[in-house]
Amino acid sequence: MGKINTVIKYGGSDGMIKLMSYKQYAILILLLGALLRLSFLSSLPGGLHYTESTLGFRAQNILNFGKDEYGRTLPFIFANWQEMEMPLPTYLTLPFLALSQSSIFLLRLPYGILGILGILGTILLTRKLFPGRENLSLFAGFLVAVNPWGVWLSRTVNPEIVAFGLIIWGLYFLFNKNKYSYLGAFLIFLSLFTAKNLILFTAPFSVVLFFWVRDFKKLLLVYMGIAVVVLMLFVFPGFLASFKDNDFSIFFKSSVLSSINLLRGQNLALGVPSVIGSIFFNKLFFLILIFKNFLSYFNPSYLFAKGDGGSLNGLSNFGPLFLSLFPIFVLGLYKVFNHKEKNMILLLIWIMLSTLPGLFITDAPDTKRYIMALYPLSTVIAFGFLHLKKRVLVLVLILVFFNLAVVSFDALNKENGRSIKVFHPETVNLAYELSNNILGKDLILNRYSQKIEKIWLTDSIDPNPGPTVGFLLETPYTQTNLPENKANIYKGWISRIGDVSIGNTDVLKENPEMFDLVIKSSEQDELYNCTTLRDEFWGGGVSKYLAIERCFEKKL
Amino acid sequence: MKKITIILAILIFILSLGLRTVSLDRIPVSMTIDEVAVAYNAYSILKTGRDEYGISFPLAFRSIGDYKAPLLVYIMVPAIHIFGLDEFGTRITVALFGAMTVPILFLFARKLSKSDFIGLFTSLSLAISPWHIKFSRSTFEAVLGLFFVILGIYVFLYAMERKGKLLWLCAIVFCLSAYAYHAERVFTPLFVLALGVIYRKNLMENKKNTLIGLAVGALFILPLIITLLSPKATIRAQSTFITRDFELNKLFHKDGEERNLGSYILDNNFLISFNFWAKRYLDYFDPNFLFVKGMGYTLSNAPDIGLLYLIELPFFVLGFYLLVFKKYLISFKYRLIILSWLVLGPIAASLANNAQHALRSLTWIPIPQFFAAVGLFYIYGKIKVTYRKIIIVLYFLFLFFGLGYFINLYTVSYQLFSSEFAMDGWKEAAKFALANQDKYKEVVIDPRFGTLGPYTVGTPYLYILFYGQVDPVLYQADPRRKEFETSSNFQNFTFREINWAEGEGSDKNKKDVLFIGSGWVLPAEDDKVAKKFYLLNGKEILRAVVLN
Repeated sequence: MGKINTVIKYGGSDGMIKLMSYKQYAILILLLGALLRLSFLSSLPGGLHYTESTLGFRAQNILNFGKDEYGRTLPFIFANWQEMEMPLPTYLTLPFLALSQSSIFLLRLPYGILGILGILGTILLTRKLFPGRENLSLFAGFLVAVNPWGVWLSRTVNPEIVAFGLIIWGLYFLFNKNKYSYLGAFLIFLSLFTAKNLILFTAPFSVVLFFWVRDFKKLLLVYMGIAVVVLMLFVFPGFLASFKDNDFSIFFKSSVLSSINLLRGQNLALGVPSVIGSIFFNKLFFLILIFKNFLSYFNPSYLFAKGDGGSLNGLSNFGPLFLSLFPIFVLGLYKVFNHKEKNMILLLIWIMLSTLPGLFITDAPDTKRYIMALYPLSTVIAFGFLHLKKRVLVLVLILVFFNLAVVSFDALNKENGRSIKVFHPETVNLAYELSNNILGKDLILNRYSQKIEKIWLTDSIDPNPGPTVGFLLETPYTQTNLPENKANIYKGWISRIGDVSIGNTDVLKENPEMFDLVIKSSEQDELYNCTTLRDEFWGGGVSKYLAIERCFEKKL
Repeated sequence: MKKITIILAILIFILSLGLRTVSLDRIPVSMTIDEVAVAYNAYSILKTGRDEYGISFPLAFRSIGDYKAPLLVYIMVPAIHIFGLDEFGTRITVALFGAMTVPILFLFARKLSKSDFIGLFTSLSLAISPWHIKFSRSTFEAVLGLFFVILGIYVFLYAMERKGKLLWLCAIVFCLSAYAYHAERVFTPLFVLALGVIYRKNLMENKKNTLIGLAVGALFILPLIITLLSPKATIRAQSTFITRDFELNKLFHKDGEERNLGSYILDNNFLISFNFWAKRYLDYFDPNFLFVKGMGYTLSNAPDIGLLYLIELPFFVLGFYLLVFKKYLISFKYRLIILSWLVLGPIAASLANNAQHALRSLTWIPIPQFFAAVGLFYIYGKIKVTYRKIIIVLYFLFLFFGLGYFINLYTVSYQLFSSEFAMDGWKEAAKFALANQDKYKEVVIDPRFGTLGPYTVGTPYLYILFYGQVDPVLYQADPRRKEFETSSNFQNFTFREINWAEGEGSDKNKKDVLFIGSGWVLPAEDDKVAKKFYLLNGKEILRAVVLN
């Protein structure tokens, strides 16, 4: 190891272990970020969440037919089972899937790339916002590169990470005092069409930006984009409904009103005048719930230790930021509060506004919706790093790398086991099995060679297997049950993919001879009332599919 | 001290006394298992000098599944003597210590900040605190522990100003906190260590008094240490320690599991435990726990209340910012004391096997309240004199609205919500059993109960002892108590599971026996049921059955 030269200056400058040049450090950070984002991309997380496979299935059909899964030609707005989707992520995926249409790696790759670009954007933006503190930008970039938050969201199909990359780059260009500032506005404009919930961040943030940029012309495109999104609420009824159901769900939670009535009722039951119950328990409770959501984003346990618990949003056993960074974060906050710089105030406002996309939902905190806080929080921690003494810095970095190793080891060895019910790897395995060994193949069944054409597939293991089967079998949109040109109603559930019927037990019970093969769960014995001739378990993890040959005796 | 300050401090003390003692015999509605256990042992000590098991002046009181800290039992003996063995007599001691904590905190906060304003508002915050009132009204040892911690640190600071002259007293008071509650056995030594580091120069300069303090402390704590090292007394620590947590145990590697080198280095049980503990520890800094829902008076997602009032949150944040980030108002050493308390406060609670435990973290309470008072003081000082009254009036308006909300939740919703685990119905059942004891050859009481199934196990013998004011001499000497190792049977009372099924050992045909148990084990026929006992919410919890 070479000699460690350390420059530590307090009161505005920064400290760093000088082993390499700035560029070399930046490249190393990017390589580390790329390694964490792209290695084992198709198998970690194992399986596919239906939002991922829906997007892949749709992109395939656009590539092949110029139409989405509802048969609409190059539409502007899409729908999955849960909500309406903005257009950019789907169109961004097209060139990648053009190389291999059912590749999980290529489906996730653009998000990995955007994640890596987000690291570079972080480094550049930090240099721009805090000039003269080059090492601050390296630390901020390093933290975005290695923390589970950015890494995990870059490893799945997440529109939010696209928005993150675009906004970071957009801000970098926007703060340039040259012609590229308009490119910055364009990138932020594009970000509005990635994840619809992020409009709740971008709209107020763009107002704040005005006070930093002081140039309405520069931001005009951003404001126009916001206007377009608002317009979409009126043009697409499904979009408005989706917003209500997903992004403002707190106002439609029936249990809230029930609980208020319950508490009022308890007062009456014990003889307390009804007016007392009405004063203390009323709809103002919704405000408390929103405030509670807001506070949930500042729980250190959430940020540094346990996350939101959802495997889709992060590693289920760790927080979005490394535990070892918590004391450095406190130090960073201390430093930020003690430096009266305008851009530090921007960081703090940024953190506050980042809560907005996940403020009105029933299950806060939501790490995915809080993604915009990744940059300011990383920068605050980077400030902490900057003020560590040489020996402490070395120790802390060793600790952070150890933390990274612990988290990576856990992710590689345990996370897939925990996230089975989210990513359903068994459905992916089943789809490969159907594609390679079953559909259209002659199988020896009950002494007879039988060509397998019609299959019944249960939805009791994976509640929404259609998109994954459709994507991996590269099924044309015409061979599903989805109604044509009806994408304005989301929650279009796929109950038929080619020759695979999904979940409809009535069809199976009434016409058992219709299917050559039944794929069910072990708890569904009542579905197929004949002797089991051969059982096979397919899939991985705890949830397994059980394949049963149909009763040929009946047919013969 | 100004006259007005003294008057306000007295008013706050009266308020705290009122909130902790009014209707103490009725609210909470029922006596918990711990309350009757502690009270009867105090009664037993009063009458015989021995606990319910006949141990003379023990330093760890054997209880159901654990050993209780001793101080509360001894300290409540006078109240039991004066007021008798009933709800009020049991609860008044802790309620008084809870109320007395308020003026001590006033003195402590005033000493740190040199501000009457901050002293008064910190103590007001404690006086009306949902966190502190609840535990002060229900005979929780933690209230006693907190009292001695605050008194201890106050005496320490007093001693430091006088060349360590009262360090011996400080040592005794800190030791008492460890005799008072289990959490203080972790917190107090760590806190004292922190104080030792912060004041190392002062302590070294006053070696004589420091050594006297250390010697007195060692002497005072020695009996407790000896007791704690005994295998029986470690039961409590073992049973509640985080490593016994069900969720953590699911994560551990099992013996014989095939593992590689990476797993031994990066995924060993120590790291798994540490990661798990860190979640628990940091959860105590969850603002929602502190300000929105920490008390858990209602079902999740229903309106609830935090450990502190929501109105205190902005002032808490401001106070934290000023004290920690801006080095505002208080001296460096005092700041270190506050920071040490802030960091160490939740350690004991986080090492136990429940998440976000309000009782175990009670030691922490003065810190957020001090921060909130500092924040309010800052705002008060910054605004124009003409607006100050408005701010204070508004603050009080919100604060007392919060107090009203708390009182409503505590006296209505919480009493109904917690009715089952608060042991509603057992008092009536015990009194019924005692009233009818002589009419039957045997009274059999089944400890299992619950509205969803007989999944909760109570301690009916303690309720019989408590409400029957059974003479401890007779109870200790009763031959039936020696029937088997864990027997609590006495006179004609038998405490066991009732078997109403047909077959061998069935109770179904036993005559001249009064059975008391839940509807899960006893029949519902009207001609057999002598009486039913209900929870506050109207659900039946127990019934008495007699076969004629």
